[in-house]
Parts: sequence; structure tokens; C-alpha cells
Amino acid sequence: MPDRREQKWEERAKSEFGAAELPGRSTPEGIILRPLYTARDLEIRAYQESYPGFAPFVRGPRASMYTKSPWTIRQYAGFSSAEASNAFYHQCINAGQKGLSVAFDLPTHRGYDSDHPRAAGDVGKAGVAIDSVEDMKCLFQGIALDTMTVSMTMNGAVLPVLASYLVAAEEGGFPLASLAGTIQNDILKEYMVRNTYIYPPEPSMRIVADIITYAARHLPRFNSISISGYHLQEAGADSALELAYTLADGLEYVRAACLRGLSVDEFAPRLSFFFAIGMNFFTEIAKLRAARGLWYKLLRAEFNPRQEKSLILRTHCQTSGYSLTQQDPYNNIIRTTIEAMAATLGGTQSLHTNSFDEAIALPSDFAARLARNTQLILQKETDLTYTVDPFGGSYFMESLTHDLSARAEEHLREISAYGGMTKAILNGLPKLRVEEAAARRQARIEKGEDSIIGVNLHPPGPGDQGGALMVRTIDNEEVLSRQIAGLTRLRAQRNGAQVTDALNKLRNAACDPRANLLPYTIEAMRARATLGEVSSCLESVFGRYRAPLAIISSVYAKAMGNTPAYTNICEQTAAFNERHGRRPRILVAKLGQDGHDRGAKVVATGLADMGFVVDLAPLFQTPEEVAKHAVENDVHVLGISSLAAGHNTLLPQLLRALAAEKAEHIVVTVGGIIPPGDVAFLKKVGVAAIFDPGMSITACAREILRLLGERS
Amino acid sequence: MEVQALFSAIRRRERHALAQGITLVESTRSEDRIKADQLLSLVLPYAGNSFRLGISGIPGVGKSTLIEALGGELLRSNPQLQLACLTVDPSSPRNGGSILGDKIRMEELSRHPQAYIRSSPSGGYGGGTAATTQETLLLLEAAGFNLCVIETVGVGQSEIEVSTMVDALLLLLMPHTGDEIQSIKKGLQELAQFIVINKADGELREAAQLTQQRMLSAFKLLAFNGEPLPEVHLCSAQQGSGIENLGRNLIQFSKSQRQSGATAKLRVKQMQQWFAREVSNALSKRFFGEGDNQQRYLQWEAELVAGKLTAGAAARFLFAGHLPPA
Repeated sequence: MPDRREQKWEERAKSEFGAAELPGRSTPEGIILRPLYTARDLEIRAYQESYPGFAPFVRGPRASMYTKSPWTIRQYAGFSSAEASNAFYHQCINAGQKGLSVAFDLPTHRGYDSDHPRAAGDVGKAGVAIDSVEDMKCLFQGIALDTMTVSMTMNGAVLPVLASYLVAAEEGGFPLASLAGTIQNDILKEYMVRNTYIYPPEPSMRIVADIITYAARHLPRFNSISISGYHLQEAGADSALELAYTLADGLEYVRAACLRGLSVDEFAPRLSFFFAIGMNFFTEIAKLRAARGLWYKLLRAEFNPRQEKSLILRTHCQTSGYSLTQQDPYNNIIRTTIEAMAATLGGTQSLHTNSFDEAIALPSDFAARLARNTQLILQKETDLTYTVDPFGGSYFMESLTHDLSARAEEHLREISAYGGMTKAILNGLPKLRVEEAAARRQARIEKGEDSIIGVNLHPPGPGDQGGALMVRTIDNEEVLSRQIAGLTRLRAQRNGAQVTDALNKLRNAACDPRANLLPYTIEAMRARATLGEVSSCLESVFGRYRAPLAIISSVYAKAMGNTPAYTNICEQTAAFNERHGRRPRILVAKLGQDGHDRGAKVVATGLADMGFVVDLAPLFQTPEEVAKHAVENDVHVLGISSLAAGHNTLLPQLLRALAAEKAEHIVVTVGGIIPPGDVAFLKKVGVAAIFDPGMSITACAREILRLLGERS
Repeated sequence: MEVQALFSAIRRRERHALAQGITLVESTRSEDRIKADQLLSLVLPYAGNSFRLGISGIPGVGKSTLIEALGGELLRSNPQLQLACLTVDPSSPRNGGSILGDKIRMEELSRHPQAYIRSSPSGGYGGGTAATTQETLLLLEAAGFNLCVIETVGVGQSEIEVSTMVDALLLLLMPHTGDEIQSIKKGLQELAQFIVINKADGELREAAQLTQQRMLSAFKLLAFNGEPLPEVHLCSAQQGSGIENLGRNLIQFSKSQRQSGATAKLRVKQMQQWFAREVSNALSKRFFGEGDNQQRYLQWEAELVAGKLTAGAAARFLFAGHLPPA
């Protein structure tokens, strides 16, 4: 029962509102945020006080937290060639950065050498190209690997990449036991969202377990996995879904490692997590607190470890790339600052802050410096680091932590009903849930329920733009020829028989489920096998995975209801049907090795709901394959989604392929991250329209229909 | 493009022309219908030289995955093959739109230079537009495709419909256990020449074998009228097992049917059926377009529903031009 004071407050608040009911904001997670929380909320939720560094660790993994040493500033970076990235790393270290985090290019992720025909457009674009130990040595030239912690975002080609790192370190004089850092090694989320997998889930889970096992024995300071929710949120998952699926993935990895004969205490302390921090400030703080509490509870219930440190969730965080906008891009600095604060108030162990130009291009040196300074300012100029868990005991924060945990537990129950995450993925459920959430989120923005300044609220006027951005451009051709030269040199200089022998041993090991693949991969890389050779050797045993098709529909339509913009497009497509004898037909496709398909899927479902016939292309297609698809189905429009900077190479190829098929009449549009400087070039080669990431689906549809009207 | 130019380009097997020809045939515009008829009359002399294979099965049984595996295998073992495939996607969110994703399940086949895959949104050949599919077949054949696969979602009526336009119908089934087979097998032996039980792998392998045996023994009991019985195959489209054998038998079947003249006989029968269907469609369209027929139909229907007369009597009164008694 509310006490007298609370009743009085409620009456007064209602009279201030002039309404019979007080408003409550419904979050994407389905939690109602009320205007006031009191001691009674803690009572209802049976809140129990706890301390940082003590179970269930809601208030922090360590007792002293940032009062002893602040979180690690760990900026994710990598582009072009190993030399260029190495120079950039040195620059970052000199400017106060404490840890490195390597971004690899897409062909590396997918296990292709730079000279593979499917790799061309993506080499050196969204990360650094690594083909062998030689590239890896060059990447870390002059960096003390026994003191610098190195994080590597690698999942698909995790074996050859980790192996070449270990060989490069050893050959540089750093013993394995001295290496500290993290390998992402989180394959499950790749099947849900990011799509940089190579093999099917089951052999991939074996590889994960092999690495955890090897690390437990030989790499005492290395985090053998970074269980990542980040990409789930980026792909559209709300915070409860992100939290639940990340923990469910974590449980699955623990099970896999236990099946390899490890005891949970041998490796659980080396598990690390990785979350996204978006603009829902309080929710994100609550998410990190809830994550620690839930992980403790889940791990204890299922595995009952003997050491307490096995139960502690440690995490890296990154501010949300999804929240950044191309319109009014300087606003992104402010967004990133707010998100960085949420991450630190939630008690993260390390943090990456995004550069403000990331919705437009690869980060420039200037933007990367501002991003790093954001964290330095929080650490050095504010009083953020002097008190542990400043929100502890807050009526609101503790209630929200509780409610978010409860929502996440509902999702966790659904996954365990399928028998765990691997089975759920084979069934396609998690991908579907994330895509549904993404379509709902898109609709919330388009209806103005979620405001984005500069996009759906207060867009900048003509005179409001700041100075032109200096974006980083990568000369793809140059990196490509450097890599090809390196591969040629490597193949000429190595002992061919030794390489063949090492690869044969690796293949045999892959056939034997008891063997650990990492030592065999290390030997192959040491003999100077390439990343592509190792990957295709394993592929010959495991096969290459293709995602089952799951298509959501009507989610967008339901969320949009009968808004005028939406109804207007439906009428236009119906009229088009009358005029042309069929509906407007569009092929939505991605090119090259860029697997980020959330945007493409959301657009596809939105357009279909508005009366378009939408063809979906498989992932990882060459321009020629996409052209054939478009021509055979006689589509009116080709909508290409490009998020990984391959557009300047791949789109001209696509237009040439269409011309070769005598299909110049097909209207080509592109959406995604396209730097303004590339627009003129793309228009010149024949791209009809370029849609930026913040554009509503109704606006895209309207423009497409206008273009079609022009052509006919 | 002019019809004559379109025709010549189709004969040269230019993809864009074939694609536009199919669009023309599928179009609901009356101007397009005239052009489509002109085009069809040009292609007709060059059509007919393919093995027409229907593949039917319930959603989720693995039709696209089978076509991917089978098509790849047939192209490997028959270098002269030109394979075309028509698929229909049943997803139809709302507002007439749809999402077609079947090429995602046919990734290898889609990129093969000797394969042409065309997906149509739902309604492509359900009900009144079955003619579209038959006409599309003619275009594909004129372009030189010698294996034409028509994928259809099996929900009863559509198997029957597709069986009237193909030389062989392949029914794809899930492994079943128990009595379900009894209801499935009824009528199948008349409709399908190939029954394939998919997903004969992993946990379902035994169930699949059991299904095969039961099906075979049930067919033996039915084999009294001398009609050839369907072949019953096991396969795993996902893992590729059983595909090679199935492919070989399909090609064998196609050759022997053609040589024995059975295919020609079947196609004559199908042409007659097609004509009869077109005539009855046209008749009903004309009847309902004239005078107050539409309205009188509804009035007689109401009488019928009210139990005042039989359906036969109602139809006779309707055609005799009567109005129901007030």
C-alpha cells in the first residue's frame, strides 16, 4: 500500500499534469518507466542490498572499481595494410591509449586470402588485411606485447588469426604466458546477426571450445572469448534481448568447454563479455548491473563452480554505432559522451568510444582523437571515478535493474525451451526475434515515438552544417596489390613440402573430434601457410555454412498502423500495379563479404508490407551474381545495402555486369554508409539514388516510385 | 522491346529478353495480353523440347533445397543440360506485397551459367492464372531450356493443377510414422511418378526408411489396374545423399517416356485439358459480364441456401434466364 506521503505526491503530480492518470513511458523492452520510484518499489521487488566485489556482483566485479584504476580505454581500430594500422596504433599509444583492439577486414573474417576472387572489393576496407604471420608481425612491429593488452575481433577465421598472433609474438621474443588480451571467438552471435561465420554451428562450437581449452593451459593472461551482445543491439535487439541472448550464448560456451573435459573453474575466470551502450541512459546502466547479477545466478545454478571468481562477469563496452547519424554528424560527439557515461556508471572494465564520423565513413584521425579524448576527459576532468557504483540503492536504478533482469529471464526461458542457443539458432528463432525487434525500432523512429535530433526532429537547416568533414579514404587497389605481392613473396620463400605436411596434419585433426585444432593451426601458420589455406583446409572437412532463410513480415506494417506516409505508399504501389500490370519489384542485395544484413532485412520487410514485391539475394554475392538474379526476375529496382566501404569497387562492377546482361533499364539504388565524397562518383557510374542510413523506409519507397515514374 | 525483337532475343537465350517475356505473360494489363499472345504464337513452333518436371510438397519439406541439390547434380552429370526453374513463394504479408527468398536456398544453382531461376509472387499460378505458368514453360523451351522444373506449394489443389502441365510430378514428403501414411498415399499413385522422402538423415533416418517401406507395400496392394507405380526414393537434400540416384532415374524416365511416345500422348491430353479450362474460364467470365447475371446468380444462390430448391435446379433456372419468385 502506498503511504500517505506517496498518495499526496500522486495527487499533486496529477494536478500538475491535469490528468487522471500519470504517464508512463513504455520502453522497447516492454518495461513501463514511471515518473517516480520510492522505497516501496524496492520492497515489492524484494530488493537485497549487496556490495561491490561481493556476490551477486550487481554493484561491480571488484570492491575498489575505478577508485583504484579507471577502466581501460580500448579503441577498436584497423584499416588498410598492416603497416598503416601499425603506424596508427603507435600514434594512439602515444596519445594515452592503454589497450589495442584490432579490426580485421571482411575477407580475413571470412577466411579468404586477399587474392581470392570473392575478396577483391573488401580488402583493407573495414579493417586491416591479414594473410599470414608476416602481416601479423608487421601489424605489431615495435609494440611490447607483454605489456600492451591486445583485443582481436575475430570469429570465423579465429584459428589462423589467433595462431598467427601467437607465432608472431613468439618470434618477436614474447613468451605465450606473457600475452594479455582478448580474442572475440564468439561464433554464435555471428549466426544471429553479423554473419561473418565460415563453418556450420557444430564444428564452429568445437573450435571455440578448442581455443578456450588451449588458452586455459597456455595463455593464463588471455581472455579466450568475448561473449558479445554488441552486435545484437546494433542489429536491432532491445536491451533485454541483447542481455538474454548474450548470457545464453555464454552458457552454451561454458557447456561446450565442459564437454571438452575442462572444469568450469579452469576457464570461467577468463570469459569476458562485450555489450553495446545505446542512448537509453538508465536502461543501459541497469543492463550492466543486471548482467552481472544474472550471470552469477545462471552459472551457479548450472555449473556450481568452486571459486567465486568463476562467477564474476567482466565486460568491455562500446558506444552504439546504430545511434550515430549521418545528418548533423557533430551531434554524435554528444551521443557518444552520454553513452560513455552510462557504460562507466554501469561499471564496465574497458570501453571503446565511437568516432562521430562513423555513420559516414571510416574514422578520420581527428574524429578518432576526439573519441579517445571523450574518455580521457571523463577519467581526468570529472569526479566519475571517485565513488564505486554511484547509483547503488537508487529506488529507480535498483527497480529498473530488477525489471530488466526479469524481462531477460523470459527470453532465456524461451531459448532453454529449445535446448540451448545452438539448437535455437539451427531453428532460426533468435535471428527472427532480433529482426522483429529491429522492424519495431524502425517503426518507432518513423512514427516519431523515438526522437532523433537532426533526423526526425529539428533537422539542420541549410546554414546549420558545420565545416566539411575530413573523411578517411582507403585506396583499395593499393592495399590489394600490396597484399598480393606479399602473398607471392611468401609462397616463393616458404618450404612448400612443410606447408603441405602441416595442412595435412590439420585436416586429419579436423576429422578427429578429440584433437585440439589450435596447436595444428599454429604449426601450419609457423610454416607460413596462409589464412586462406588453413580456412579452406578446414572447410574441406566441415563445409561452409549457409544460413537458413527466415523472413519476418507484417511487423513493420503493424507498428506503422495507418500513418499517412505509409498509407500513401500502399496506394501508390496499388496504382503502379494497375498501370503496369504488376507490382513494383525490387531486389534487395548485399555485395561482397559484408554480412551486416539488418538494414537490408528491415527495408525488405517494410517495402513488402507496403505492397512491393521484394526479392532477397543470398549474402556474400559477387556483382555478377546479383546482376543475374536481378535480370532473371525482371526487377524494376536493385537496392544495394553497403555498410563496409566496398561500394566504390563493387558498384561500378555491378553496373558493368548489368550492362553486359543488357539490363541498363534496372534502376540501381544504394543505401548504407556512403561518404558524401563518394556520391558524385557513384552517380557518375550510374547509381540512380543514394539513401543515407537515417532515411525512413517510406521516404525510400517514395523516391523509388518517383524514379520508376521518371523511367517509364 | 518489340515482340519480334523480343522473340529473336529469347531464341538467342538472352536472359533479359526471356525475363521480359515472362513478365509480359504474367502481366494483368490487357495491352500486354495482346503482345503476349503474339509472342506465344511466335515461340510455339520452337517449344515442347524439354522434360517438364513438377516438384510439390508442403511448406518446410525442403523443395528449394532439393532443387538446389538435384539441379547441381543434374548439371554436373549432363553437360548439355539447360535448366530452368519456376518457383512460387507463398509469403504474402499484406497490401499485395511479398518477399521472395527462394534463391537464398538455391544459391549454387542460381549462379550456375546454365541455370535460369524465376520466382513469382504468390498467386503466380494459383487458381485462374495456371495458364501463365504453362505459357512461361513455352517461352523457356523456345529459349532452349531442356529441363524445366516447376516448384509448387502442395496444399491439395495445386498438385493436381501442376500435374496437368508436367511430364512427371515429384512429390516431396517428410518422414512420417504411423497412420499418417494411410491418408497420404491415397490418390498419390495416380498423380505422382516420383515420391521422394526427404530428410532421411540424422534422427529421422529410420522414420524415413519406415515410411518408404510402408509406402511401397501399400502401392503393391493397389497395383491391380496395370498402371505404373511411382518410384519411391529416400534422400537428404541437405546432405546430398540419394540425389545422384534420383537424378539418374529422372533422366532415365524422361528418355523412356519420350521414346515410348507416352510423353507425346500425355501432352495431347494436357493440351485438351488446357483448352477446356480456358473455354470454361472464358464462358464463365462472359456469362457474369452480361446483363444482370451476376445479380441473378446471387439471388438463386440465396434461394438455394434457404433450402428452397436443389443446386441443379437453381443452375437450370439461372441459365434459363429466370428470376427467383419474389
